[in-house]
Amino acid sequence: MSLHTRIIFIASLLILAIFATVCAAKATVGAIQNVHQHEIMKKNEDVNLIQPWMTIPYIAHVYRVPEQTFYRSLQLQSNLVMQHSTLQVIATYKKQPVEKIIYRVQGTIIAYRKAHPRPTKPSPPATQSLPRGEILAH
Amino acid sequence: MNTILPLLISWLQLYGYPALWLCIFVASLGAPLPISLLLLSMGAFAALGDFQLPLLIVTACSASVCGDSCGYLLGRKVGSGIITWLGKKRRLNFISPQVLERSQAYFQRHGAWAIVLSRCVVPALGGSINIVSGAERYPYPRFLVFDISGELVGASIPLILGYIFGVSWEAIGTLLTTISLFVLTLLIVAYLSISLVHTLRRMKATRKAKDSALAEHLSSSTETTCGVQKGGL
Repeated sequence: MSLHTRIIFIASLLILAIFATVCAAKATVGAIQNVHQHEIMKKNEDVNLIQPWMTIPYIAHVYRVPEQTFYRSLQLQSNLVMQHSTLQVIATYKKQPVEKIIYRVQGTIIAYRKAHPRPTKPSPPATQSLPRGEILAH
Repeated sequence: MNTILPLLISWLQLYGYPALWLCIFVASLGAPLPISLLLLSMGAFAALGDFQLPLLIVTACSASVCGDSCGYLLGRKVGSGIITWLGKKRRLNFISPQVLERSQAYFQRHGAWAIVLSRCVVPALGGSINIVSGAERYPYPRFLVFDISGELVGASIPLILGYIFGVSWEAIGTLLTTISLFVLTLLIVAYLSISLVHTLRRMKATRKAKDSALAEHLSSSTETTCGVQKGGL
């Protein structure tokens, strides 16, 4: 291969690689935004975060709902196998689509929250505009 | 989402560390299993208390290193034989003994980078790099050192991220994939840029050499003509 041909070949590959890098950078930014969105949903304990890989103890821990509530609503026995099964496996066991199981779990969480509303944090007492020294003295 | 993943997670939940070891070992041999996602999920379950994070790191590293060593052994036993066979005679048009020697020397010089990067940045290439390392007769103790250090980073990152981010581990998995793709393309751009600069320099040097040879030739021919003219006079 002559040097001229080689340069043209490398330059075209370089252009392609730069294009791919720009695409990858764009995808990375999108993925970062996605993580951020997930974190907000996690903070708000959004039920839409429930996925087929989750186990019942995991959901119970994340959404602060007793495990037994889920076993009851899904009509399952609370044994070792069920405790370690993902929703996907439970769906296979119950011969139902996983989406249906997820929907029922989401419903259970919402119903539990309605029945057991969390006590809201008492807001700190408003301090009057006293000078710093006086606040410390109080 | 991968459909095999929830089943694998269930299996790992039931059978624990030995199952994880087996999964990672099989994946290190080249089986297409979503190991990074599996490690992220195990990290998330470790946050719940189902697993111990240090024990998960030790299990993942030991399984990967064992699998990688098997790949290396396979490359050494089978791959090096193929390379020797190819090197004896020019069996394929584009593979000459010189090319094989050059590639061998290149791997001996830069193999460490290939081994470490294939563990942390582009895990998909891990299996092939193990076989190539064995086939190119890369020294095993060096391979082991770089393999362990690479795997330590490569296994700890997803486990720790899964532990920290918990429910969001799937989004983290996508982020890790895009980051690894970005780093890979960036490395390719760097390599191609360097290679372009080298080729341009070589072209310049060749042109210079040609010009100086032409100038020398011209001056010598003028001298000869002058000599002949002087002789004639």
